[in-house]
Amino acid sequence: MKTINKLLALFAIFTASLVGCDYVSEPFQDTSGGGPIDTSDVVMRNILIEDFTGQRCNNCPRATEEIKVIKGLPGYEGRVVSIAIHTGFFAFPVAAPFDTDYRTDEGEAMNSFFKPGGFPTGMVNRIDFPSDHFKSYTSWPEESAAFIEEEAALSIDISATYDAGNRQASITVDSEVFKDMVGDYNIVVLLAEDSIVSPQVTPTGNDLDYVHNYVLRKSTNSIWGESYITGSAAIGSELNYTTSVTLENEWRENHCRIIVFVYETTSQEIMHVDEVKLFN
Amino acid sequence: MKKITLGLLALFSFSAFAQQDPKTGELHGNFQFDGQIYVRDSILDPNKEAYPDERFLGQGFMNLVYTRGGFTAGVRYENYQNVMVGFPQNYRGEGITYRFLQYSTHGLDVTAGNFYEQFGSGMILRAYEERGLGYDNVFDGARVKYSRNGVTLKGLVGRQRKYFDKSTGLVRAIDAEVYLNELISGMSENKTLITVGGSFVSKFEPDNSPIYNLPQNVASWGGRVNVQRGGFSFFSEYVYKINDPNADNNFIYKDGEGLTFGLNYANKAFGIAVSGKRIDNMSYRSERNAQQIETLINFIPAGTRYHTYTLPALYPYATQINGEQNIQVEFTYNVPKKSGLGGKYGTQLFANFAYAGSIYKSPVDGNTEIGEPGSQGYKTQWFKQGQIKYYQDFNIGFKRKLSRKWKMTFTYLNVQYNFDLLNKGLTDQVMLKKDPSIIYLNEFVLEMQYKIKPKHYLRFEVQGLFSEQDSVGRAFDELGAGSMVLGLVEYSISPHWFFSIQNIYNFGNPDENFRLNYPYVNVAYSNGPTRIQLGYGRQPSGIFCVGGVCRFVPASNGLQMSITSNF
Repeated sequence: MKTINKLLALFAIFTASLVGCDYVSEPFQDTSGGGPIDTSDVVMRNILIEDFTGQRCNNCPRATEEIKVIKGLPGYEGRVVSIAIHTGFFAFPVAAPFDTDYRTDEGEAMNSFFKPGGFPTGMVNRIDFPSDHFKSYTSWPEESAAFIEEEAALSIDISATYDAGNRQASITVDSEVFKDMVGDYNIVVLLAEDSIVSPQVTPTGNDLDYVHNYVLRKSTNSIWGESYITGSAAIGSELNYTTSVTLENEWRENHCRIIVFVYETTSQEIMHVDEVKLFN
Repeated sequence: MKKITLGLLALFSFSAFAQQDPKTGELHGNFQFDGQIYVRDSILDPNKEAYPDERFLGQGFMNLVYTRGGFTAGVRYENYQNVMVGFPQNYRGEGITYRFLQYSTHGLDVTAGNFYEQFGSGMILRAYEERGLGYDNVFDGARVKYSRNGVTLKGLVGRQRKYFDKSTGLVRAIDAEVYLNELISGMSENKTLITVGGSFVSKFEPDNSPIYNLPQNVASWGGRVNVQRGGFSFFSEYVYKINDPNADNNFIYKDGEGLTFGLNYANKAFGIAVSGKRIDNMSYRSERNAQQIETLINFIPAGTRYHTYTLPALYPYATQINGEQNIQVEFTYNVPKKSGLGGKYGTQLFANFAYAGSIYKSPVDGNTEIGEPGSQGYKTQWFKQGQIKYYQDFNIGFKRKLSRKWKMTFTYLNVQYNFDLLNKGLTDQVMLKKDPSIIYLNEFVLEMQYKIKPKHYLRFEVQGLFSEQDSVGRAFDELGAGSMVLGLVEYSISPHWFFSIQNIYNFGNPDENFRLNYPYVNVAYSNGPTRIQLGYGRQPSGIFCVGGVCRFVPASNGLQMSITSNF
């Protein structure tokens, strides 16, 4: 019996030592957002959130709202780029009003390769591929925070010109390497369209006037891009890439933007991303 | 790590030659492989959800467990090449996902590596695997158990599995269980058997959020009691959890709590079981942003009858870890043989009623919506009924042996199924603002078994599911699959062969394009511990649940195969 009592006493002490639980009192929200970051003399690593979505996915608007929140956090302005990839079951067009097809060959290829499990879901700089790369939208702020104080390995300076006559956009990308980069890196240039008013299922029902933003329309150089660095690139190296894309008639050029990112081809991790509007 | 693995394999290889020799220990194992060749079916699957690029997908595992005296070691290899449609897609690749070393001596039991564990009913901690769902929240760490004089103490620390990775959170937990009749000498002869227990669990996860101030250490604790006397038994457990804002509860800071109970009585003639629970914000994961089946620390049973017949299983209930009230009453009565109702061979009557609904919720103040992120979430009252019905199931039936060759079972079910919650995942706060879509189901199952001759059996099933909506004007995506019927014939030659043919006709689908037949044929061969099964045909989409945990399986067409074996 004495042994038992000793054990129970030890048990109680061990329990008490664990009761270091954290009660959080108000305010629950952290309004600093990590605080403003001085980026005046360095290029900081931007964050790409690839939002896998669909017009018939009732919880997908929540993910879109989360992106808005992240982009509005102090210190995050201009650091977060998003792209809405309409793919999978919920993007499949059905009877009106959900008869518009926002799917793309590029989006379907991404769906087949990355295999999202449930919607909404997304990737943040494509980290943790291949087993844990899809992140729930509620984790996107934390995943983004992991990059917010990180300097970019290279710059991405985009210039785009548009020829209204043949509806062709020409894009030039210039980069300077800031850190020694080892491995193979590809560059991808995407065209996205904003402000598309079109039906969306929402948690509270069908919203016929929902505004879709950052809708992936096309990649100018395939969804896997083209080689940008092969083997390695030393600090100070300068890189250049040009491409073009012809806009289809229904795409409104004044609502289009060009998104460029560079990723490591084995890990899929996106090293840096930036965007410009086709018309500034 | 490679050296350790090779060493274990060498150990197992040696033991395999001497598995029956007590001097060198015993080696046991089991193997399973499932695969499917997918056939393009543009009617069933216009979006190619169930037509993967690979055309063939297969996955499997092998467990090996070596035991010698008080020492046990085990390892499991899993492969997903690639993971089958409907399973979590994050299972990619292959590898050793489970390995452990364990010894026990003089009441002490120590495990290093992977282990499964359960405290009480599991409402505060339960690590287990369910391969049919792709569910595995095993711990990787260390566990110590000590049992003596009716007292069992457990302590563990570890991280949980997340596909081929681990959770970012760390779990620390202790549990004590006391069997009073053994501990207290004066109670040893008492016919009333009493066990009490208590648990404490804490998880740690760093706060990296730029939006919220999050608790890094989230603790929970609970107590339980189990009383048995004769045919009676009673069990109850209460758990409490401090603020744990997470993806499940939409980042509210309200504390969580849960109470479950079960009261049973059974004798030779009849049995009755009453159980219930009240769950309030009890999602408890070692990763606050995990979803679906990932990194759950605790387990809350569904509290409704688990139906195994095909059509009733299409509309299962899944536990609502954010909050629910649930009550279930089950009754069985064995009508005596040679009585008017019992017939020559006797008859068993059974009935079951289960209800699950939301807990009562009201705003914390006039400026905060129910469930608003970054708030206390809501106020609730224990003894006030919640505003939303989640699920209701009343089923009644009988089993009867008609003659020496014939047996029959008949079941009628009346189910109310909240489609918005259980299929679309809408939250309480959304459903409080709109009229949730309830599907009313009347179902029956008639099963007949016929013994042709020794070792030769025929089994027939006729099932009907008749679906109605609560109101007109619902959108297509709120209607479910509509009414359907099923016919099944099985022929088995014991102990080796099994054949079956089945068809489901979804005659009442709201979309005329999907009023389809789903034929399916199946053949299986068993030889001792090995079973090989082949099936071909269409399978309707559905929600596949085990123990209240569910996953969506899209409709598919193709050839399925399965091999299981053990030694």
